[in-house]
Amino acid sequence: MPDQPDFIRVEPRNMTARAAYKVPGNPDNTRLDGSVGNCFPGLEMDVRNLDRRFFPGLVFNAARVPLNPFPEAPKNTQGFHLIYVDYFYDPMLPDNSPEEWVQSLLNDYSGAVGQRLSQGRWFLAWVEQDGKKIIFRDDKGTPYDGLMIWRFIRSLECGDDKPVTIALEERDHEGVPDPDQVVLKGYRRKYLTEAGVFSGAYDPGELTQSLCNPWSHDFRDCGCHYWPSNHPDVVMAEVPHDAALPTGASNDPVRAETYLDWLRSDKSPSGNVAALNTVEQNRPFQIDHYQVNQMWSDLPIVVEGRETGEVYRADPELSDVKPYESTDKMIEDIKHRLAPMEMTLSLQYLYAYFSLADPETVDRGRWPTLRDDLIFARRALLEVAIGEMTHMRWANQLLWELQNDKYEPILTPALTLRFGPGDGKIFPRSLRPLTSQAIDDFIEIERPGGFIDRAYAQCVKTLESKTFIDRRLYALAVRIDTDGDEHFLRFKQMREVLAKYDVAKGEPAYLRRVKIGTEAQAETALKLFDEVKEGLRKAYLLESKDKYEQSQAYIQQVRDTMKLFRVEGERLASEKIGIPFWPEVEV
Amino acid sequence: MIPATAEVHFFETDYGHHMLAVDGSRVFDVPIDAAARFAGLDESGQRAYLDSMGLDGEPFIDDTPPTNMPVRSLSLAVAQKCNLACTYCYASGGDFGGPARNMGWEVARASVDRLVAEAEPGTRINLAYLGGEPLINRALVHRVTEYATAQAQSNDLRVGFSITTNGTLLRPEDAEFFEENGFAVTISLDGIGQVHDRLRPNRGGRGSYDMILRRIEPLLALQQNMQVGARVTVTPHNMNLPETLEEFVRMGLHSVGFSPMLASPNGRNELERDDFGEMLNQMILCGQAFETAVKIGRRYPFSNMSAAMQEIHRGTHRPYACGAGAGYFGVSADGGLFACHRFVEDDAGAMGNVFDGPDLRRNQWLEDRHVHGQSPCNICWARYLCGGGCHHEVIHRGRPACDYIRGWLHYCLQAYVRLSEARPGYFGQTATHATA
Repeated sequence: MPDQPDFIRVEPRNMTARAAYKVPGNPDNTRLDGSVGNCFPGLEMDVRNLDRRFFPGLVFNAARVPLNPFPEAPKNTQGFHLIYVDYFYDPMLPDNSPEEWVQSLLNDYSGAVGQRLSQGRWFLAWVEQDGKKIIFRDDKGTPYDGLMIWRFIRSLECGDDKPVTIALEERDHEGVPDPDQVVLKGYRRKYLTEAGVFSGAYDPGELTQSLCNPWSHDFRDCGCHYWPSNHPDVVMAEVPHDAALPTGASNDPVRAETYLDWLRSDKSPSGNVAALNTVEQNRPFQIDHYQVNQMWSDLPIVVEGRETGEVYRADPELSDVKPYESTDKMIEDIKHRLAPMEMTLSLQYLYAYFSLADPETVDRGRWPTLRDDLIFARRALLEVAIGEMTHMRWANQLLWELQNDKYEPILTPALTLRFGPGDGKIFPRSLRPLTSQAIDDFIEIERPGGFIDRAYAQCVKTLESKTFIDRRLYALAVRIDTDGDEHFLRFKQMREVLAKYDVAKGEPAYLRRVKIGTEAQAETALKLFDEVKEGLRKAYLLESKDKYEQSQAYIQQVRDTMKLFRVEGERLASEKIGIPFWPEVEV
Repeated sequence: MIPATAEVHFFETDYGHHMLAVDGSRVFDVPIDAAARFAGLDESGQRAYLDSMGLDGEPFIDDTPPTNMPVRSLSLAVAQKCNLACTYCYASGGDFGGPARNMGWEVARASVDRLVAEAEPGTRINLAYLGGEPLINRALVHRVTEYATAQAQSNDLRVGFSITTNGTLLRPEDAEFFEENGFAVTISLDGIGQVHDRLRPNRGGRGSYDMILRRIEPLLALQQNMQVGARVTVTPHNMNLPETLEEFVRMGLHSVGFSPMLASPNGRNELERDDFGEMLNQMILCGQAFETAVKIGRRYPFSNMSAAMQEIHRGTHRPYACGAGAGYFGVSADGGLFACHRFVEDDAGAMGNVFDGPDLRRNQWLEDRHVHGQSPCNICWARYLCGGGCHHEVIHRGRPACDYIRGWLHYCLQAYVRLSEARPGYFGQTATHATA
């Protein structure tokens, strides 16, 4: 048995070493939704600071209406407030410019106008461009808030054919403007040079000066669309090296497969307790705003739903898996077993999804927590169903990449499923509501190390071979292979969360017991389902020929149809009718 | 199968322990015990060890020789005769063992046409004038240069010229001509004064050093576009390399390079086993002078060293020692095409003629000469930096200098680490560690 050393850290030094070095970090098949994004575009600077110098030679601040003004404070302090005149080094105003408007501005600033503007409180009164004039006061004469004016300023255009005229007004202590305005003609500044560099008009630090408290402060809570990135809520724990089996899996599967709160404040192993299923329940154990400012860099990188330590290894070890005998054998297996299996799983889960009660109509007097738990369970189940749909698409992609012209989309569900430990057992497919028995079966189906979890391991092992030049195929197979763990966790959580509503005899409170409907009852839903399949078939065929833009039209159509399908599924379920995806007797 | 021991070479410096991953000529810093741990493992353990360092990717170089390479560089044996009688000349006194003669215009023009016909627009073609002594046929050199410049201009190509001369026939007007056309001029100088004279006498037995120095003065004075370098052929009789180097650098030469005398037609002045040890010591002394100079920011044109530093930095890895028989050929006076200037009139490197282009013998040559097919190169860690050695020398003498080459490369690897620490800017960009 040769010595099996751990990963050895080497530092690349010359150019080929650096180019070929596998940098510890996200593998190329990572998607943004699979890991925490670690950059925050938009937070490098405060864009408002560009507009404070929109007019050559002048510097403004956008002043808000004060929240709690002192009674003796000056009135009407809101608006685009002139801070000072700054024309000495303005790149738009060189002394030797032949432009008349430049010389005129320089004359004004260095003369009487500059004198006037250097005293008193001056505000932007109006701007005019292309014959459009905007006066910064409302109907009652109240000056606009600075941020509102800022939006108008942002709409000004720059360019040699886009002159701008502005007027400045001086306000006295009572906020009353002097009717003798200062009117200046010029152009809006080009904030970037041709090379994409910020104009030299800005001082060092000027563009960032008004940024709020560190982004991490907001990062703790923010889930709105402003953030072009996201962060995970729950994650799986890192498998430490000394606790990993040769396969890379943990020697303590329960611990390794438990969801933790990513923002948990206790990051020691003893703090690795399962996250609860609502934000409110987890909140007391999370790091607080004042802590996140100091601890943001301790938040672990998450890849494939799992916290990673120093080094992420993209390639799974599959020591006990043998590759397919031939590529043809692999293609046959994907065509006849794997792709149909994904379709069956996604439909079983969809069927179960519609059996969950509508959170908005449950008896909240009797079950105060049921609404939240249903929202969770429905979301989780839909996520898993979508996951299987994604797998189906990937299985098809493997096929078209491997088969080229011979590819035919596989969109037929399998008749049976093989799952369970080892080689598993064969079970007939079945459309069932999400009863506790069904959840238990789904957990078995998705159990890590079970037959289905390892379904793609053979593909990975085969595509790992260096004869497959296109590494994307390998990466794709790895993605499907490693994607299943979350499904198992989701079903386990559903079981825990929903068990408490399944106490008395009869219908569990979370369920609406749907029965498989007739084709006539579900006519609309089945028609929509057929449209979905047909749309996907066309889209996959086009994608297999690299015609992505054309396929996009069908994909969009499928998405729209799925929305209608969901509405129709809910409608049928409210009448206790399940969609007969395939002919079956209720079990 | 290449043994694991031939996949890496470990070395040390004051900055720590390092490793050359032979595949891709990658240089890494490794843990202190890496070499010892590696040495203590059996073959499969060593493989696993290399994998654990991330050296398990696609190989950079496979066994497949290149095909359909355009001819980019030709050297023209414009005069297969010489006025000197150097003791060890590979061309046997300039005539390559045949009748002395000059190249005619037809052959020279066909050479330029061949380069122009095969080059993609925007690329660079190269013409080298060799001999014999090329300046014996000065008129042809001028005519070909003008023709090639015009052809390059009208075909959107860049053209580079070089000439290797013994320097004895240089005239002041040559300096102007070389400067105007941006020549790389290589003067064969084998030492200082009498050392040179003993190795490179004229046909009457008189020395040539003083005359050459006088004749290259106008070139050195004018050198802007042109680059004037010295090539020293090292024999057992001119081993004082640091002094030679320092003197030639002082003279203002743009580059100074040393090559060991491995194979001469008559066996005279070839280096023997013990001589290589001495030459390595001398070369390292020169290298140390280079390191000292670079650290203080002084230009020190020791070309063996500066080329090695750039190649190691870039991670140059090649399955051939040079472009001979691939993109580079030597043209004989009567238009024969040979693997390089040294193979002129030698059947071992004959590959057709310049009028019809290289024939099928080129493919066979590239297949035969691939370093993976060379023994013992295929088990040597230096194979992709060395490329298997000069084909001409290997075919005619074998590989007596392997230890010398490995010793030199080992030193160069160490020097690379030292310079990349002490003066990272020398390599054009920061050569400090990449951090993720």
